Amino acid sequence: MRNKWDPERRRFMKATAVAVAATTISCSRSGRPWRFLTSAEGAAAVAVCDALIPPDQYAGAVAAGAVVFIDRQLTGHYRNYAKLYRDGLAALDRASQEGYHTALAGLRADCLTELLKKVEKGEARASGWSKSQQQKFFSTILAHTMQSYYGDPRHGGNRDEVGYRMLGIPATPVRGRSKHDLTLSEASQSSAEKRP
Amino acid sequence: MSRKRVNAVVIGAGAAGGVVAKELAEGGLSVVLLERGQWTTNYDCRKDDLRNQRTSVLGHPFGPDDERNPRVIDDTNGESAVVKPSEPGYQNNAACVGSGTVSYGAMAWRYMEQDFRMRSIYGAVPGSTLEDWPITYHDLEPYYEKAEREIGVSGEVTNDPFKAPRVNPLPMPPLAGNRECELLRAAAGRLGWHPFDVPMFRNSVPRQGRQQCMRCRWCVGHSCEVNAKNGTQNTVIPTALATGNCELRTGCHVRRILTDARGRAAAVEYYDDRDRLQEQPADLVVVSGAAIESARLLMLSAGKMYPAGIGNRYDWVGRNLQGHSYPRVAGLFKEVIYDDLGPGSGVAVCDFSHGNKALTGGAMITGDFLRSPYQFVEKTPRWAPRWGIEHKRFMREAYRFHASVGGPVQEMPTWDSRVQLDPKVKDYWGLPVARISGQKHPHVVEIAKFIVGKCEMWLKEAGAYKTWASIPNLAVSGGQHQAGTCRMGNDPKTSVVNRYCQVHEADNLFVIDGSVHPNNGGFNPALTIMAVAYYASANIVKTWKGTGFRS
Repeated sequence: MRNKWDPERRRFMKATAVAVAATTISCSRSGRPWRFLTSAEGAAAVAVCDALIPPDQYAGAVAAGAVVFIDRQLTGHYRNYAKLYRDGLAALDRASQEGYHTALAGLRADCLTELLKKVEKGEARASGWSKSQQQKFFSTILAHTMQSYYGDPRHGGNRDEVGYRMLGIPATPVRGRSKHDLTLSEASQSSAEKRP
Repeated sequence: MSRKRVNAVVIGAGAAGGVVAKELAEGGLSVVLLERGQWTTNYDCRKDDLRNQRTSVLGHPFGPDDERNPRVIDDTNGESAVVKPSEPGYQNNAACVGSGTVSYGAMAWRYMEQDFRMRSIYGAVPGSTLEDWPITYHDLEPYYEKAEREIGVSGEVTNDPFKAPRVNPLPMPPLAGNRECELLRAAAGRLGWHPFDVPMFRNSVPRQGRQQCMRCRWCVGHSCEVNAKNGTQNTVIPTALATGNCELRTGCHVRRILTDARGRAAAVEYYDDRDRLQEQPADLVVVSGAAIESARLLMLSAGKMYPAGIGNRYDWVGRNLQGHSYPRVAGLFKEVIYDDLGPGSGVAVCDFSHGNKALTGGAMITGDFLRSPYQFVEKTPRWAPRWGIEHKRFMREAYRFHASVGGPVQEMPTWDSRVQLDPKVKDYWGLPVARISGQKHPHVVEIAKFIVGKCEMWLKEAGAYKTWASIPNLAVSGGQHQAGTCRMGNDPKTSVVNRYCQVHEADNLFVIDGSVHPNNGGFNPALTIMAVAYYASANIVKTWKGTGFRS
């Protein structure tokens, strides 16, 4: 029976960690931080997500990986939302320019919140952005931000399981390391517990 | 390509199909069991709260495949949309060996005696096709017991004074309840109600070579990591295969049922796992694809003798689609309710299932299965802040401090709530997809409002200082509880199959699954689907003469 002290497993974990780090480096070398979003769209998404779930004593949406989550899903399961995001983030930027004379990414937090409240109701002013389009965009990015913050970390959000920690519930147990793991015999379980 | 003739082909390896395959194989018939999905194992429990059969915002692991199986859904405003299996409104049931029994919450309810006699007890409901079953609870009782024993049910229903009479107790004791369950049990007792332990397809003790439930929170929507949740995939299907009389073919998508010159089923035509068209001749055919796909297959099998589909001479195939609507109430408490112990939904009351003033039926009410944080976000009340710092504060003050109760309301079947073949949209194999249209009967909402009142009472008695309700709308229901589309009845003009689930027009063709329920009770239907499968199979085996099926 393999357990967490198994040296072979540790080697595997180490190798995986190196592989993950390497992937990160190669991504940033491409000169574009996101898979789907442009740099400008990424900056806008960062502003919006952190307004939806701002940092307090617990990380905000962006630090928890919301934009990573959204960007990743837009090339995957949420590819049908690609146009909604592209159009929506651009329109939101126009609304910011028209209402506050500044790009969305540079908008003051209180102004951004004010703007998003309007978009939520479909009452923002931006040329060619209808009420229903605004509401659809807002409810979509809100739902996706919530999914990233409270959902499984494997999808790129909920970094360090901050969403779970904030609510005071345990992290997802990894098979083989759980108190519930009944595949270990009682003897090996208690000997594992005695180790430092 | 034509394959070697067998005695029976069973289409769909779910709650009903698994049981039928096993019963027929044990009865000495050679059986081919066709399943469009794949085998899953307990190692496929990914504990992913965004990608499972219950919360499928990032898809679902047990199918059907999102790209190949669209449906068309007409909403209550008359707008129609093409919908993928993991999207809302699709009315999905998992496509894998075991189907919904792999990932269900696993409640194992017997319907009450009244559920079989709704029309006699309550009279006609205007606008509804409400009818009695042609069989009674007592016809099914031995088969309910067989299902409880062979699939494996834990629980304790002795304290339910409203239950239908039963001969033997459940085979396993109940699991211990979590904090939410015990709080609700005590409160129901104080209200003078009759709380008891919900029967569940779940091992509370090691049984049949498998582990007992470890009470984790990844239950409903997921496969069980320790294989303690009982479905057909880990009970009757392995038994069927062990007889040597049953061959299971996965990844097989049935195209149509072929009939002979006399209109009897002769073979099943299907695309195998490499998309090759195969023909499987058989003496008898059993359709167990669940209410939507079973009805669709009968219609896809239209031919010279059956211009509108097999069994559809009087336009009953696909009609009366129903599932369950769930009125629910959640409440906030001063104390922490969450104790990280699953699966939840351990206690129920049947005080309001029948006999409610001016209402036709009612609902069993129970606690909810454990809600994941994202599920809770989706169900927060209108007055709760949806975003911003205030949202985070609300989540911290509410998530571990809330409890939720609700139950499946008796549906009044309607003629217009139905499955048809869509004239335009085709699936991956070029076959017309199911089109779902119509709406629920308004009386369902009236019952739901009554049940919401009882749920609020229950939570307040348990100590909730604030509650909020969700009341179902008129949109068609179906989902895992889908039923009704091939009604069982004595009159061929007002039903599709007879009391033995035999299609009136073709005596060697059977529909055995939730489709045959004339109404769907006020309970989760899985155990009833299995009991009907045992009952109908017993009749097939008894009538079988070994040289072709003759009734």
